[in-house]
Order: sequence, then structure tokens, then C-alpha cells
Amino acid sequence: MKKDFTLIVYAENNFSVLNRMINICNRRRVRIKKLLANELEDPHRGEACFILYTTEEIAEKVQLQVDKLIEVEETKLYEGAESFHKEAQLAGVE
Amino acid sequence: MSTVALKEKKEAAKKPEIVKEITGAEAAIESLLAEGVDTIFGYPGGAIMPVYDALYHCLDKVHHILTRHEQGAIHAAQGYARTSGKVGVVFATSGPGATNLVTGLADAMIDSTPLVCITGQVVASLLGTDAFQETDVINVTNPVTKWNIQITRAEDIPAAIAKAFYIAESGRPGPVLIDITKDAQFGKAPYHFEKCRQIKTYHPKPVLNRAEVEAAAQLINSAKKPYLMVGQGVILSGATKELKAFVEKTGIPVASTLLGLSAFPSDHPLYVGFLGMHGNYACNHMINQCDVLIAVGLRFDDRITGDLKKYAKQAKIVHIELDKAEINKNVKAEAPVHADAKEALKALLEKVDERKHSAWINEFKKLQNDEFEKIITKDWHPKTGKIKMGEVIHILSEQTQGNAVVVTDVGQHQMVTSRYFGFKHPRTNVTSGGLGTMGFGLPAAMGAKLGTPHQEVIAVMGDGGFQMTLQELGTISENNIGIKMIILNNHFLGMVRQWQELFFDKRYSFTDITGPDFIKLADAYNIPAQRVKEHKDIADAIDTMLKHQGPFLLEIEVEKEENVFPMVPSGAGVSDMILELPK
Repeated sequence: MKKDFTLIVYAENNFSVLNRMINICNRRRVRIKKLLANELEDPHRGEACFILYTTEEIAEKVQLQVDKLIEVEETKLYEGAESFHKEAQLAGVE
Repeated sequence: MSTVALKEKKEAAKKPEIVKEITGAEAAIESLLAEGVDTIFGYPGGAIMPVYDALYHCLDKVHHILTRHEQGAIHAAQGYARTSGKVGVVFATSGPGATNLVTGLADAMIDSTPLVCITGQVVASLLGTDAFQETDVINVTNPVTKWNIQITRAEDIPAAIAKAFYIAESGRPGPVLIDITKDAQFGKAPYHFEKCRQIKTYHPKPVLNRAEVEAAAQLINSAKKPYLMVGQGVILSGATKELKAFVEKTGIPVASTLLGLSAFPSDHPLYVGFLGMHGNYACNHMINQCDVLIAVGLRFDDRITGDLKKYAKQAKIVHIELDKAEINKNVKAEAPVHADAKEALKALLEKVDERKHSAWINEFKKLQNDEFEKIITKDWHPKTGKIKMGEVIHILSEQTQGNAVVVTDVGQHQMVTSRYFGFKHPRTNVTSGGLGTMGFGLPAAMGAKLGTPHQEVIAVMGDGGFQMTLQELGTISENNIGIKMIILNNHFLGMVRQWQELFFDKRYSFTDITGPDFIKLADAYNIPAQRVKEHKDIADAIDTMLKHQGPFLLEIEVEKEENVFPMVPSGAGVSDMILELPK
């Protein structure tokens, strides 16, 4: 069953890495409902936070594929959109 | 050493190293040399001219092969990498030069081939302005590279190249692209090269998990009908000896994927065949009979599994794989082992029981005999009619005794070669597996020969695929690259025609293809050639070809409407494999 998942990604701030993450979702036709990307305190690092609308199985597979991108330090996957909104508040967006 | 001398030495050590200032283009070449590159495949153009100029001064240290198209360059680099085990290096200019690499990048990505491609780019101030020969190559190549980067400053070039090599060849190998703006190539900076040994965010080699190995060993030891399938991961990790030791200790029958061919000797008594849509009958069927299926270094691609709902549902699966994202991607594993194949097999070898599975192996025999009687013997020894592809490959295999690198293009001839050539040694099978790129064979064979010059390299191609990259005959002739080329000419795009016959009521929509006179074409490039039309002439012609020093083209006119059987029809399960057309 499809539902919301929050995928949080910490990565090196390279020009193409955000596109690579989006490409992984697009290839699997996973709907990105919301996307928040921001630079962290260290400008060489960034955070991307997605709300994905998909099944649990596909969300986990997307996480694994994002996780293996060279620049990606860490990924976290949560059910629902709550974690996204917390991150958005921390980033001062919401 | 005197105290004074010692003091002087210490003082000297304290002084900063004097590093010379060179151009970015020179830094690129120096960095490649520092990485041990001896061969580059490429094609110059406006945006990469400074790099080519720097190369001009180093031709005593590095061999550059000017191909006739950038696609030829990248496929050649793939062939070079696949046979030599080294990283293939490609140069191309911006715009069309870079976009012409895309097919090769996609091919290398899906087939895990280590490449470093360096493309020129317009000057940084023109980026994004639709300048002449400007393409956003970073975004174009994002989905088909393991990593890519655009460099706009000369001082960043050595570190980028070092990182590119590390990424390309470590972990699951893959293609990497470095796009360098022209001003960065012209710019000057102090040169300092340091080999990349790690990247903070990238962990290419997982630590072997002993508990996973233990769980896998328990499943293997408890199995009554264990079955082993091997993929290219075994070759890439250099685990062929460990594989053989594992198979011989456990007595488990072993089958290979398309890219796994050559990981295990095909004449070994425990080898049961080639898996996949046009693979061997018994080895595909028995996937649905085994109780434990051990997969090593493969990704359960759809050409291997057929319908996943009907694939190995009765079996418990051990999946040994380096790429974590491949585990449970297509097939759920009861005992996943996230590890390098060599390390995992070594560890497993200590824990598995010595066994023989004679009764189980005998179960393969009946189906193997069915295939032999209904298909193989007719393919090898046709009594009448035109030459069959299987007959040619059988003779080729016998004459070379499996001691050759065989490069195939894509289509019927590829499947026939994979079925009938007796691969014995690792890295002797080069083909486009995942992407299925027609036109791959000829340029890849050039690269394969340059990667392993002491080996006989034979390109087996169809007339369709050959015509996609035949301009590389110019490269072969100019550099006297001694590959042997066999064109199995059926005047059709054979595999598509077969499907049209079987599934589209014989509507041959644009698969009937005419070609040039291949003998005259070879002659135009000063390449000796011969055409064979009769069964009786095949062996002598192959013998002549193999004895010839230098490149040689052999065109063999084969049956026009031959079908490759057995086959798993599209969307069917492996047990639905058919030996012949339903009557």
C-alpha cells in the first residue's frame, strides 16, 4: 500500500548529488511530494529531505540506492511526514 | 653520517617541497601517468585541445588510439578494462563528443566496468549560455555514471583524477566522468598528485559479517539439492580459484550468467550450463527444483529470472553480493551475505561440508540429453541446408580449445556463442550484457586486444551490429590491431526477426537488412578477408584466420531464418523454457 515516507539524506555538497537522488526516485516513478534541500553549517555538507509517496518496499529500495551514492554520508527513512516537518522547522522553513 | 650532515638533512626535510607550476591540461596527463595509464582511447575536438596538446609531449609514455567515433573509443576502453582488469580511459570533446559517450557509459554502468572518461568543456564563463558545442554533460551523464564532476580550476584536476580512479575501480566498479572546462585546462597551478585511498562518505568494501557467513554455511550444509549460480562479481573480485575450490569441496552443480561466463571452466564435470532466456535447458529448469540456491556476484537480472513470481519459489536463497542495493532487490534472500565474493567464498570454504550430490546432478542429465538431441547436435552437425551459427562457434571453440578472448556483439550470434564456446579462463568473455548494445563488439574487441596483446581476440558479430560501428575498421587497420572478426551474416536483424516470427505472426517489420560487400569493405581498409558459404569450408577458413598475423575478417553466410532455441518466452518463468516451437 502506498503512503508517505520521509527520507532524510546527509551528503557532501556536490553539484550533481541532489539530481542523482531525484533521478533514483524518478526512475522508479516514486512521487516526491515535498523536497527540502539546505546547506549545513559546514558549507561542504548538505541535507536533503523528501516526502515520498510509495510502498514500504520501494521506499526501502530507494533508500539503499541513495545510500550508495558516492557523496552520501547517511540516510534515514521514516514512515509518515512528521519527520519532514520537524526538519523543515529546524531549517526555519516552517 | 656526521652530525652536520644529519642536521643538513633534517633542515632539507623541513623545507616545503618545491612544486612546479603546470597547466591544467599537463596536470591531467601527469595525473593519468601517475595512475599508471598506458593506453587512452579518444577523439580530439575544440574543447579538449589543450589536453591533446599536453598528450602530444608524452607519446613516449602513453599510447593513444584515435578511434573513428567516440562510441568506438568508449567501447574499446570497456574491452580493454574487461580483459586487462585495469581502468579504461577515454578522451572526448564537449557537446557531441561527450554525448557520443553516453551509450558506452550506460553499458559500463550496468555491466560494472571501470572507466575514467575525460571530456573537454567550454570555458567556465560560457557555461549555461548554449555556447558552441556546450552540453550539460554532468546532468546528461548523471544516471549512467558511478560518479561525475565538473572541474573549473586547474588546481583541482589532479585530486579529481585520483578520486575518479579510486571510485571507478573500487567496490562495484563503474564509469566515472570528469568534465574539464577549457580555461581550467589552460590555467596554471602547482602540480601535486596524491593517490586517493579513501573517501569519507564511500565504503566500497563491506566488512565480512561472520554471522551471515555462518547462516549461509548452515543452509548450504543442510541442502539436499543445492545449486550454485555465478555472475561477473566472481571475476571482478578475482575469486575464480576460491569458486573452484568451493564447488569441488561441496560437489554443488554450478551454472553461469551471461557475464559470469569464464568464471568457471565450462568443461568441468560440475558445470551445468549457461543461464538465461536463451541459455541451457536443464540449468534453467533446475532453478525451480533445487532446495537451496546460492547466487554469487550477480544481480538476478530479468533475463535470468524470467517471471519473478515463478522463480525459485521452493528454494531458500543465499545471495553473496558486494552491492547492498542488489540484495533483496529482485529476489528475496534467506541468507544474504553482503561481501566481496572472494572473501565470502574463502570464509565459506572453511565452513561447508565436503559432499557429493550424484543423484541430484543426475537429475540434470535427462534434460541435458533432451537439449543435446533436439538442439545441440542439430546445431553442431546440420546435415543439409545452410550453415548454422552453432556449427561455426563449435568449430571455433574446438580449434582454439577455449584459449582465446571472445568478444560478442548483441543478438542471436551472442546467445549462440555464449552457449557453444567453451570458456575456460577468466576474463575471456567480453559482451554487452545488461544494456545489450548493438555495435559493441567490434570496438570492444580492439580494446580487448590492446588490453591483452598476447591473447588471441576474436570478435563474433552479426551483420546488423557490425554495421553500427564498422567505421572502426579504420582504427584497426591504422594501428594493425590483430583481432579476428567473424561476421555471421544472415541478412537480418536476427533476434528481432525471431521474435517477429514467434510472437508477431511473422510480420518482419524492418528487420530485413542489406549490407555492403564486407570483403570489399575490408579490402578498402587493407584488411584481408574471406567469405564462406559452404559447410565444408568453415574449418579451413577459421584455421586460415587464426594463423594469420594481424587483423582478419571472416564473413560466414548463415541460415537466414534460424531461430535460437531453447528460449524462455518473454514474461514466462524459467520452467516454461521451450526447446522448440509448439506444434
